[in-house]
Amino acid sequence: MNLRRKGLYIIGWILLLQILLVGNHEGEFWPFSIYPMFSQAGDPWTRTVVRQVDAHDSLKWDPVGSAGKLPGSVFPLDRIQVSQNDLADFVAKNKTWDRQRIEGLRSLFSTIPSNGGWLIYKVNGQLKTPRDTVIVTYTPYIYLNKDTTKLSPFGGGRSIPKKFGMDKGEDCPGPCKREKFGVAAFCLQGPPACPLCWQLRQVREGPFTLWELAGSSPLPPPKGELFTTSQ
Amino acid sequence: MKTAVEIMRFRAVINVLARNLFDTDRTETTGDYLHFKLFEVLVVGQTLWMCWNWAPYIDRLSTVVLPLGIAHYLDITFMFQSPAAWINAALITLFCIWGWAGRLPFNRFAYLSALLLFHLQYVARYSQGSIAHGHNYTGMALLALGISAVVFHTNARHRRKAAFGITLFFVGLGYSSAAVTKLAASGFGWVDGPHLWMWIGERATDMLSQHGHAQMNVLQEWILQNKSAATAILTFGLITESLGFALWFRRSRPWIATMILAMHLGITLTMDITFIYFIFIIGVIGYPWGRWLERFFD
Repeated sequence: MNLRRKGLYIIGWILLLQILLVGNHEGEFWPFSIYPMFSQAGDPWTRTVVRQVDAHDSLKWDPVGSAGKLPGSVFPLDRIQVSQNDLADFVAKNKTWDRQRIEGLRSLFSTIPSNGGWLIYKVNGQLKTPRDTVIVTYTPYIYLNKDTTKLSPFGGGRSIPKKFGMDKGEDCPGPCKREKFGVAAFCLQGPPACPLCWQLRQVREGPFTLWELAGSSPLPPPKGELFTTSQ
Repeated sequence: MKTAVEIMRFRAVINVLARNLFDTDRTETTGDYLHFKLFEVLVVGQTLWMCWNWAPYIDRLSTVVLPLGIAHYLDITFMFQSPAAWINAALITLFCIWGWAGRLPFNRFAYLSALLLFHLQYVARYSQGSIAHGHNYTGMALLALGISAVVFHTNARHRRKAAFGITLFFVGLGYSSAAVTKLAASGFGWVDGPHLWMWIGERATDMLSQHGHAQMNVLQEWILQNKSAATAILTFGLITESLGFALWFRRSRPWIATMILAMHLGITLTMDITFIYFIFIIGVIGYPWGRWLERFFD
C-alpha cells in the first residue's frame, strides 16, 4: 500500500478509536477529546477563594456579595504552588468528604505553617437576565487550621440556579406564585425562592437555605456585585 | 449509474484530502525535512516539559477525585506521594530519545511507548477534578509520530509525511469539534456578549485566587462596557473554530492558522488563558516553513 492509502487507513482507525473511547468516557480520553471547553455559555460557575483568618476570629458561615467584605486576608494559591483549577474542582466536584478526601485537601496546605487557619469560599457566578449583569457571591465552605477541619453545616452553597432567583418587584417563581414580591431573593437549594415559599420549605425539609444562612432575618440574602475582585 | 458517480466523486474528494494532508504529489525537499525536524523537536520538547513539570505536583497528591482515561480501570494512587511520577518522567525521556535517535533497535515502538506513559502522567496530574485540554494536541502529535514510525518504519520519507498529515487532520478536527460542541450545548446564542462577561468574571476570580490580586486590562474593561464588541469577539471565535477543518487543505492552511492564532491571542487578552502548546503547534504545522526555507536557501 502506498502513503495515500496507508495514511488514510491510519486516520480512519484512529478516528474509530477516538469515537469509541470518547463515546464511552463522557467525551474525554486523553489525548482524545470532543473539546467541550466553554461550550456551556451563560451557565452559573463555581470557583474558590481562600482567606487566611486569625485564630481568634469567630467563624461565620454567612455568604457575602463582595471580595472586599471577606474576612481575614487573601491567601494566594501561588504560595502553596497549587493550581486554582484543581482546588476549585476538588471542592466543587467532591460529593463525599470522607477522611481520605479531607486529608487530601489538608495535605495541599500542609507546607505552610499558620497561626490561624484558612477559610475556603465557594464563589458562585451567575448571569442575571434581562439586565445582563454578572452576580458573584462568596459562600464559606471549609475551614482548616493546623488540627481542625470544619465543613459548612449548610452545605456551603451550591451554584445558584438562575431560574429560581427573583428580583424586587418580580413574581415569585415558586409555588406561592405571589405577584410583585417586595424583596429580591434566591434560594441555594432550588425552589421555592421567596420568603413565603421558604417558610413552607423550612417546615418540610429543614433550614438548609441561604435564607437561613443569612440569619433568618427578613432581609434578602446578599446579592453580590459585578466583579468586585480587587483587594 | 447515479451511485457509481457518487462513489467516484467521494473517491475524488478523498484523493484531494490525502494529497493535501500527505503531500503525495510533491517530493520532499531539504526544507521539508527541516520543517519536520522542527515539528518533532517541538512535540518531544513539549512532552518532556509537561512530564517533568507535573512530576513534583503528582508527588504531592493523595487521592483521585475525578478518574480520567486509564484511571477508570487502574488505581493510579501508586503515582502519588512516591517516586513513581519521577520514574515515569525518566522513562518517557528515555523513550523519546530512543524514538528520536532513529537507528536503535525496536525504536519504531519508542514514541508509542512514550505516549502510553505520558497518558499515565496526564491522568495522575489531572485527577483532582479539573480537565485541561491544552495538552491534547501534543498527545495527538506524539500519537501521529508513534503510529507513523510503526507503519512506515521502512520508509523514513513516508513516515515524516504521514506524521505531519495525521497531526494536521486531528488538530483541524479538534477545532471544528470544539465549535460543534458549543453549538450543540448552547446553539447560536453562544455568541451573546454577556457570556464573555461571565468568563471574564470567572477568570478574574481565578486570578484573585491564584495570585492574590486581579486587575482588568484595557480590553477587558472595554468589553465589559460594550456588549456588541463582546458578541463580535465570540462570533469571530466560533467562526474560526468552525473552519478548523480548513487546516487539511494546503491553500487555506496558512489563512486558517493565522485566524486560529488571532483567536488564541484574543483568548489570552480577554480571559487570561494562554494555550501556549496549541499556539506553538499551530505555528509550526500551519505554515509552509519547508517551502519558505527552500526559498531562503535559494
